[in-house]
Amino acid sequence: MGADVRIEKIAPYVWEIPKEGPMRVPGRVYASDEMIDDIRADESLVQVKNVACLPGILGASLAMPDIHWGYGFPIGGVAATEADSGAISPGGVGYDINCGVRLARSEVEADSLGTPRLRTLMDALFDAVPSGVGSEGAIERLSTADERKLLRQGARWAIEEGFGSPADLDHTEEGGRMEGADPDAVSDRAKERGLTQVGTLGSGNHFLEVQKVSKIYDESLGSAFGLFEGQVVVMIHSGSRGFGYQICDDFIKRIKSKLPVYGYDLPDVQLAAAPLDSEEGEAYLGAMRCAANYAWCNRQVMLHKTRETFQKVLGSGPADLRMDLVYDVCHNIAKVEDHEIDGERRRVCVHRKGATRAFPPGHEEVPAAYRETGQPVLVPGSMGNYSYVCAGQSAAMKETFGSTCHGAGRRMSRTRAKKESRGRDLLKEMEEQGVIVRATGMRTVAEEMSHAYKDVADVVAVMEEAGISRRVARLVPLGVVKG
Amino acid sequence: MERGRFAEIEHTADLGLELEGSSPAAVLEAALRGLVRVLFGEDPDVEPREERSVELREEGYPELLKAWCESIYRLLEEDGFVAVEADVEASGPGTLRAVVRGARPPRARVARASELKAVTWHQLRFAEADGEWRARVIFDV
Repeated sequence: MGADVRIEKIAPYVWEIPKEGPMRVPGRVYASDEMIDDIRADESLVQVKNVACLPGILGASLAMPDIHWGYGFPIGGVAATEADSGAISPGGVGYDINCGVRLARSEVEADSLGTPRLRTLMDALFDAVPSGVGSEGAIERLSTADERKLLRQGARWAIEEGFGSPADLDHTEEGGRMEGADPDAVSDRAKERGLTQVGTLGSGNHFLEVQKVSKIYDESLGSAFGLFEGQVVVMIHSGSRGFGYQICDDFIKRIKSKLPVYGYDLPDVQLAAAPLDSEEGEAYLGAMRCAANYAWCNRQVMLHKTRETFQKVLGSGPADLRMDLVYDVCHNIAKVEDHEIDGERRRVCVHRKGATRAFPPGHEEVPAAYRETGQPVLVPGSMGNYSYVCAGQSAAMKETFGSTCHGAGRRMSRTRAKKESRGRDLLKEMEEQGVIVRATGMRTVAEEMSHAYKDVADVVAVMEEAGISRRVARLVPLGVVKG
Repeated sequence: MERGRFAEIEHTADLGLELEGSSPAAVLEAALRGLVRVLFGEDPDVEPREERSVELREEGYPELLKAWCESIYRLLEEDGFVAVEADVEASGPGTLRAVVRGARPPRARVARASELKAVTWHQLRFAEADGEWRARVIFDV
């Protein structure tokens, strides 16, 4: 497979798809020479070109090195549109609105855990954080009044309900709450789906991992992030669950029927977009922000459950464990931000579909705790492999609308990954590597094996070489909970 | 009713189906079997002991395929009902009446399925060509 797309290398780690036909801007892909053949192998470059056709798109249709074929937008895509007259595309955010990652540190040293206790810990985490299809029941079913509060307040609602501490909010992107959330813009069906799924992991590539810091690349940044070698940390990857999926689907359907009214001619229905200042555009933003808030609340509750579990299994109090939140990032989102374009400061709507904000040191929207270091960027790798903590750098503001990669990026279809895993005892293989896996279904374990992904080390290295984000720490898994 | 055929699509991030059949109803019936296969990764080993009715009215055939797949998944997510076969009557573009048969296995077995975030619009097709009905649908998982 793979489409014949003309692409030229314009800098050591930057490739350009020249503007042609209905493209309004060129495409620009961050990748090494070694990666580009894999990227050419699927249809993701066609998707970069398609995104370049969005009304009001500025600069370039961007793709990070973890780019792969998605639906509409490529995964790893970034597109900024004019905030006053440009378009917003629900497909450019994705179904899992504010899918993201959070990382909590601890004072526990991995060497002190021991395999039997780690096994007990993973069993307990698997019980405490529901996973799999339609998972629910982490907390009591919400009342409709509580759900409305949650949708406006995000992680703050969770803190007020006792699921964490106010300091967590200081270490969450946007403080765990997006302004402008409008519950009235959300369908009844989405609200119904949201009532029972707070605090649940879901399925697919979502996970909860107990990890060890295996390497610190920058002592100063590592220390500022509260990290040290040998330390146990916890990474949680999940999003807005059925609530967010439903919002995306509702709005694509609604907006798709209005495309002729807007005068939009788009190459893929999945890119359906509305002017930001249209009724539908404003309603989508209000609903999307509700889903963003839901996702932050979801990850906050899961972190709380994780802390409780650590305390119970390890017999330690919160003061001893010090499981402080390092940071929480979203990687499926649209945000209205200020960026300098051709020497002019402009208000733009940045779509990040499988891309992470990477604001540099000194940026006013980076929380006070990290204003001097740059925003922590959390980049999970493939299952059983390593993950990275990085920090935003100044070139991100000049080149990528303050964005960097979000993960390893798939290189093999789920179908093929499953075929290649047939006949293997994957859980045993992982355990032999020192990783304890607790999974609801073996299907997702087979699909998510590391051979199905690019090496995340290559992905973060490209972004570092390009000056977009730099490595701070590498994390290796000790135990994994999968849906 | 003649049964349609399905094949899984090699999509990098997501899962999808190519469908064929002699009629829209045959394609939709194949979509049910294909979707369940995609969700469980194998035959779910469920006896068709219970029935559910599904009625849909959409704009056209592609929209109908999307809504049909969503209905099957909704039965699974909300009710734990695993559909394995169906009598489908597609009386025109966008209109469907079906009796779906399956069972409600223990919740732990249902939870083992892949979660479907959405039935996407990306490359969604459902049309007749040369006397054969063909469709394509991609799922975000």
